[in-house]
This record gives sequence, structure tokens and C-alpha cells, in this order.
Amino acid sequence: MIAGLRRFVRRIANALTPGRAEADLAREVAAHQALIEEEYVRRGWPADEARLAARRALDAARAKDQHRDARSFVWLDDLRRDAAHALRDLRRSPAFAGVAIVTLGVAIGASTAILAFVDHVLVRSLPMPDAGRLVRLYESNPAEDRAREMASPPNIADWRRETKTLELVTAVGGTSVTMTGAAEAEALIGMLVGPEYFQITGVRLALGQPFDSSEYQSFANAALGSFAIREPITSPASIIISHAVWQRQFGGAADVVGRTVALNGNAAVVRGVMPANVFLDQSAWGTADCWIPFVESRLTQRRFRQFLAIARLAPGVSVEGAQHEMNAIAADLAGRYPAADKGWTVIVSNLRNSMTVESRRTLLILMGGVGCVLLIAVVNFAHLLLMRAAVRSREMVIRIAIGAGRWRLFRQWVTESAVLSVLGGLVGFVLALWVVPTLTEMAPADLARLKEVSVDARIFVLVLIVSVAVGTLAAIPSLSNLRDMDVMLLRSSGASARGVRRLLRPTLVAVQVGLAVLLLVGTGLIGRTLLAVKSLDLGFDPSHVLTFGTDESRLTRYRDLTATLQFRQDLMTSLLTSPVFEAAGVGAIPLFNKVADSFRIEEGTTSIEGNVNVPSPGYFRALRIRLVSGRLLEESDDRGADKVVVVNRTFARRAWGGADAVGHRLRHDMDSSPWMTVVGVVEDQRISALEAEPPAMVFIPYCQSTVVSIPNFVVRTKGDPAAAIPLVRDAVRRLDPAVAVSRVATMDERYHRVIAPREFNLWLVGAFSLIALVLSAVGVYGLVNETVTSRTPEIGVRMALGSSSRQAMLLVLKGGLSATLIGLAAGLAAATVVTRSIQSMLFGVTPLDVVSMSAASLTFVVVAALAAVAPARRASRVDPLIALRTD
Amino acid sequence: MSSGGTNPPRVELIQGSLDLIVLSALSSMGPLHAYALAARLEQITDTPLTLNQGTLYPALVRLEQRGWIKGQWQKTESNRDAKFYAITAAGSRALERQADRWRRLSGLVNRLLPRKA
Repeated sequence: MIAGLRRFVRRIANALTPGRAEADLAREVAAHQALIEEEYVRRGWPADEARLAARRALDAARAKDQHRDARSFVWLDDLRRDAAHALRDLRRSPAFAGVAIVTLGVAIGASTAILAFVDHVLVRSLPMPDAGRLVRLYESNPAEDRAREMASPPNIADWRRETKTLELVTAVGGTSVTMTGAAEAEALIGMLVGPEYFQITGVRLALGQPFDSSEYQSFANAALGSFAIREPITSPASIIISHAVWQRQFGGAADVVGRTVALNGNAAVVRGVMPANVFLDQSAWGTADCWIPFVESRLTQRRFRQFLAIARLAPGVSVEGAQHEMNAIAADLAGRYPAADKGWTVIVSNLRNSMTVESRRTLLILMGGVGCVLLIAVVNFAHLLLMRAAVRSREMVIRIAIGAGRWRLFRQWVTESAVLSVLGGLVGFVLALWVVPTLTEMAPADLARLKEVSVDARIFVLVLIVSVAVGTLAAIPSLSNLRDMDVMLLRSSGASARGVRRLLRPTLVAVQVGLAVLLLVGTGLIGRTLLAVKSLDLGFDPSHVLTFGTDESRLTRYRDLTATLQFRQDLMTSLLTSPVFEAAGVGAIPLFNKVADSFRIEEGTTSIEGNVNVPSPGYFRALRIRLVSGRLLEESDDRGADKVVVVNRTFARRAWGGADAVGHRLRHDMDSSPWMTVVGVVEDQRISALEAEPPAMVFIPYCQSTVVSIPNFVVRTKGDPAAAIPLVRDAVRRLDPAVAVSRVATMDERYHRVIAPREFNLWLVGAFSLIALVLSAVGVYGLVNETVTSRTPEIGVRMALGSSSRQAMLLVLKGGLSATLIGLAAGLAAATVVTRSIQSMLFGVTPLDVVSMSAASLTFVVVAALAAVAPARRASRVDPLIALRTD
Repeated sequence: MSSGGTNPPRVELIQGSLDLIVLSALSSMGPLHAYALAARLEQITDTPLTLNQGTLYPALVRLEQRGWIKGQWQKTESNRDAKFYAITAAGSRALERQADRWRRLSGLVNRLLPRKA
């Protein structure tokens, strides 16, 4: 078998690098013949007859052919020779080669870039061991309209105990801790993990060791998970820090493992450092800065559904099998704990799919878009080949006449086309190498698995395969031209196609136009979507607004609400002494966090769902929230005063219909919650999500609320809000150096982060449209040009008979633009069908949008007209005498 | 070309057996050049040496690419240049294996065929 393999390799080597094999063989055959000749001479034959006999005994030509066939692969040999020939040929027509390579290069480059995204995000398995067996478990209560929720730790623990189909189940939660004792006080986002986390992710710490089993029971660690701990804490907590925190807080010191820091004022030991690229570092609270052992036994609230549940299927078990078992386990739990679990089931879903489900549709749409571009480019390429075939038709005819095999010529033609397209593919690959890093920077940060996207060897192989396929396909239309060489032989004039083949070129152009129009309509829709989103009335003024949060409540010093309130008040006062700050307030950060709650009104019997905001009076000033009736909250609404609230329009409408809300009373939907009087109604704000309808909201004065406390600040600055950040940090540090400032961002930044995905989509689809537009314009130009050339004699006749140059121009334009118009109509028709599938990407605009379609059509008609002008003018300048002479 | 009378039998040597015969010849007779091999073939198969010596070349290429023989340019007794082929160690082993297989096959066929009366 090895011998067979050896031979195979030798044959390939001989095919690709012929070397001196031919010369050696010639020498050997000649020597062999000489020996035969010598033998005949020895037997007494005359010299010349001996030579003839030797030639008969050893047919040199046949021997060489057989040798050649045996020593290499004939088809590979021919391929090599054809490819070398093609390259030489191309060097002699640089313009043709250049245009073809650039056209294909740009299209293949764009396609490769999108392919890189699709491959890494949707196709490849997650970078964890046994990734194919990883699943995510959701809790689900369809009756309450909660289809996919996170899970609660007691439920997760029960699943783990009772399952047989899942071999590992881990709970992942989030928390936030303030760390002091390193470079400076910082609020860290912590990831609460169970022991199975390390097994499931297979993560290898850069330094240190994963937590040991005792750490998953310690009170200190439970306290970090913000669970109330009454037992005395005797041993330090443990954390594993992220690579970034290690660098910025510990300077990348090699001895960080074992160092003690303070978390929320209590001692904690650093157990290890995560590697720079941790895959599973997103919890419900954000990107993890540190990992903390999750003390499952301390969180017994079965209704606290704030944890991710990730599991690994046992070998041989399918998702359906696990789902089946979990249905039974969930039903059992619902029976045992009806208060918490009644009506709740479990959904088991492949982890990779569940992570990428939002990105999937967008990526597939982008793939469709770039596919159109590629198709247009391939059509252009096919055109170029057609033109080239026409130019070389005479040469081909002569070669066939002197005996060249037709099949051989076809093969050469296709090889030449494939060589061109492979060169285009290489150019495209290099282009993608450059474009993809830029795209990953521009892409919205919440695109799943964005960190993994890159262009690598696997994609290179795909590009090569696609290029060869493209080249082969594009050569086919011109092959039919070659096939009728006999007919051409009989013609004296240049070949002009007849019948069906005459429609080939206009049809191809119509296809190009249709695809380009389709992309243009898509761009129009996405552009209008972005405009619609940007023109949404936020209900507040985001310019010159800085937002940040402090976590003073974590420190023991501020456990008392009065102390916390005093701290916040002092901070706002301190900030307002500086002329930089126009207004400062405590409250929910718009587009960032929301707290939902339910309320009851005096008049009604059912509860009303709404959002809770707990602002200081300065909040309204900082955000410039507009008052509709009554008054805003004021400083006088403090601890001792009457309990008041402000509501927004939506809440007022939902609770009291059209009546003025001022004077009515409401309370939290909890028994013994005090009644609060509505003193004012404000305009709706899009505080929680930009594109959703503004939620009903109740504003409770921060001094009066005993239920909810929001440690976030919103300040309005005179100048650039980003420049005020150091002032904020200074003010906090002066008040209390142990308090960390976090969640710092200007309102403009937050806003842009929210609309970034839509802008990204527009950039990409817009780029595709532009490329498609240019390529189709080139196609139209080529079509009109060819019309002029092939109809020059006819034009000459017409002009000789008296038609004007303008009429000649119109004649040519009619031919060229009719294809364009047909393509336009087809493209619009296709758009009505296709745009329905991108509805998920749209906002504020229907798929059948007349404005977008008209704009797209108009754009294309203008561009096509421009493209057709130059060749059309050539038609108008045809000199009838010259035209009639050349035939 | 026409020929009166009977044609000398021309054994159509199937590919596999030609390779085996070449290996066997080189093994028993030492390094040979192509012409000498053809002569040996004539002896074995009783075919005249006048035609078809070219069929050796693909067989030689196959064997050489498998690493079972190795070619080297040397001088003949009459001081002419010729490419001599010698069997390699791997070739000897392959020869044994192939010979075994042929023997077993022919033994089996012999047992299946009815005995000549």
C-alpha cells in the first residue's frame, strides 16, 4: 500500500514539474534502439536494415506515450500546460486580464468577508471541549408570555440531581463587587460559577488553579453573591480575575496568585487569572471582570430566575432525548413546588444555536446580499469572456482547421477562464484579509462570537474552490460560440449571432440590472429604517449628558439607607459647585437599566405593570424631561413629607384613561405598601429600549422609596461630557476613596451603541449596492457598446438613406436600454417577494415601500443612462461611407 | 503488414503479470537493461523479439515509482550506454508476496479444473 502511495505521489510530482523526464526517456529509448541495432548487425544484417528493424522492434513514439501515461497523470499534465499557456496569453492582454481580475477580486473579497463571519459565527462549533454536546436550559412559561427565561438555582440544583441524560449542569450568575486594595478602587462585574463551569468550558487558567470544593460552600463567597449572610465571616473569599483586570489593577505581576484584596470591604484571595480570550464570559450583568464561586446552598429562592443554566449531554444522548427527560422533571417540580414552578417548563436547546439566534438572520440576509454581488460580477466576467471569444474566433477556427482537437480547445478555454478567476480569487482573499479586521471593529459588540471571526486557511480553500467553479461556469456561454466554428468558417464577415444566442447578452445584462435594483431597494429600506430609528422622540435630551454609577451600598459603612442617601446628596452638591455641571440627578440610566414592578390604583382591582424610576429632582433637569401637567418632584419631597409620585403619560392612560392623573393615588402591588399621591405627569421616555414603545413609568422620589434604590447618576454638562469624567472621579474620591465609579459613559455613546447594529447593516448593504451598481453600469455600457459595433453597418445604411445622427443614437439606446428596463421591472418584482424576508431587519417601514422602490429605480435609470451615453454618441458619429465600406 | 501462414502466438501479457515477470527476472538474473529484459521475455514466452518491446516501458515506470526497482546508467559489455534496472530490497519483498499470491491462485485453479484424462 505504501508502494501505491509512493507511486501516486510520484505521478503527481511528474505531472506538475515535468523536469528532465522527457529528455531522460529520449536518451534511454535511443540507447535501447542502438542495442537492438547492434544485435542485428552482429547477426549479419546490413546497417540501414538493422536500423529499420530496430525501429520496428521498438516503436519509439508509442513507447514514449505509454511511458508518459504511466509516469504521470495525463489530465494533470495537460492542465499544467494549459494553465502555463493561459498565463502567458493573459500577460499579452493586460487590460482584459486586469478588468476581469479586479471585477472578480472585489466581488470575491466581499463574499469572503461575509463568509468569514458566517463560518465563524454560525457554522463552527464553540471553542469548548465536546462543544457539540453543550446545551442551554431555559425556563419557560408561555401562559405568562415568558417564552425563554433564565433559571433559578434551586431548580438548576434539582435538575442536576435528577437528570440522567445530562452529565454536567452548571449555573452561571452575575453580581457586582467593589474591589479595593489593588491599584485603585473599581467596581467589578463578577461571574458566579459552579464547579462544573471549568469542566464545561475546558478553560485553562493563565495563572493559579480553579476553586476547590470547599470554596463553593464558604460564607465569604456567598456574601459576594449579594445574598444576605448573617453568619460571621471567618475566612477570606476567593476570586479569579480576568486578564484585563490583572493587567490594569495588578500590572500583570507574576505573583498575583495568593494576594489579598478587599471585596465589598471584606478580605478576598486571588486564586488565579483567566487567559486573555475567555469564551464564556458574558453573564446577565455584562462582561465578567472576575469569577466567584457560586454558593448554591445559600440561594434558596426558587423564583429568582436570574441564572444561566448550561449543561453537557451525556454521550449518545440527543437534544430531543434530554428535552423529553427535562419535560418530566419540570412537571415533577411543578407538582412539588406549585408556588414557584406551576406552569413552568424547561426548554433544552443547542448552546451554539441559542447563542447565535439573533445574529443568524442578519448574517443570512447579508449572505444573500453579497451573493447578488457575486452573481453580478460573474455575469460581467462571462461577458468579458464572450468578448474575448469573439476576438479570438478566427484564431480558433484556423486551429480547428489544421487539426486541433475541439475538446482540447474547449479545455484550454475553460482552463484560461479558471486561471483568471483563481487570480481574481487570490486578489479577493487578500482584500478580505484587510477588510475583515475593520469589519469586526465596526460590528456591533453584541454580535455573538465576534471575537472569533478571522480569515484563515479553511476559508482560503473555500475561496479557491469557489473561484474555480466561477471560472468554469462563466466560460460556458462562450463555449457555444466556439461550437459553431464550422458555420463561422463559411462566413466572410465577422460573426454576428443569430436567433436565441443574440438574446444571451441582453438577458445577462437584464439579470445584472435586476440584482442591482434588488440590492438598491434593500439599501433604501435599511436606510429608511435607520432614519426612522434616529428620528424617534426619546422623551429626553441625550446631548451633553454623562452617566455613571457608584456602588457605595456595597460597603458596610453605607448599609443604612440614610447613609447612602446622604452620600448621593453630598456627591450631587459637590458636583454642582463646579460650573461645568448644569444639573445632576440620581436615577435610572436611559437605554441601560430598567426595573419593572407592578402597581395598584385606588380605583382599580387589577395590578398595572410598569417600570420604576427612583430619581432625585435634578434628574428631570439633567435629562430635560418635559412636564405635561402638575409638577415635577422637588427637594421638598423628602423622607418626612407626604408620599408623592410622578407618572408618565402611558401609565396615566393605562390607569385612569383620559382623565388627569394628578391627585389620584397608587401603591406598589404589595400588601402594606403605603399609598402615594400623583403630583405630576411627564412625557413618555424611551428609557429602557429604544425601539420598543415607551413603558408605563412611575417616578418615586429617591428619598422616599424604601423598596428600590438605584445607584446611578445622570449629569448635564456645559461642554463635552466626556471631559467631565475626571471631575466626577475626583469628586467621588474626595468624598470617599473606597467607593468605585463604574458604568461611565456619555448618553451619546450609549445611544450610538444601541443603533450601531443598524448602522452596520446599512454600511454593508450600502457597500454591496454600490459595487453592484458599478458592475451593472459596466454591463450596460458593454451591451450598448456591442450593439453599436455590431450594428454599425446598419447605421451606416440608415444614415446614407437620410436618418439623422440623433435617430441613430436613439436606435442604439433603445436596444441597450430595453434590456435595462426589463431588468428593472424584474428586479422590482423580485424585491416585492424578497424584502418580506428581511422584515426582521426593518423598523418603521414596510417591505413594500414605494419610496425605496422609486428611489432605487430612479437611481438605476440615471446611472444606466450615463453608462449608455458614451457608446451612444459613438453611434451618432458613424460616418456612413466608412461604415458601408468595412464589411 | 500481411503475413502468410500462422502468426507466432503473441501472448497478451496482462499488466500485473508483466510487472511480476520483470521483478522475477531482475531478481534471478541481476541488473538488466530494457533490451536484455525483452530478450528474457522472449525466452520465457516464446514470442519473437521483433515487436512490442515498448510495452516494457510503462511496466518499468510503475515498478520504479513504487520503489521496487532502481535505474542507473551504466556501460554494457560492448561499451555502450544503457540504463540498467536492479531490484531493491522492497522489491524483493514485494516479489515474494506477489509470487505467493500467484502460486496460491494457480493452485486453486488447478484444483478446480477437471483433470486431464
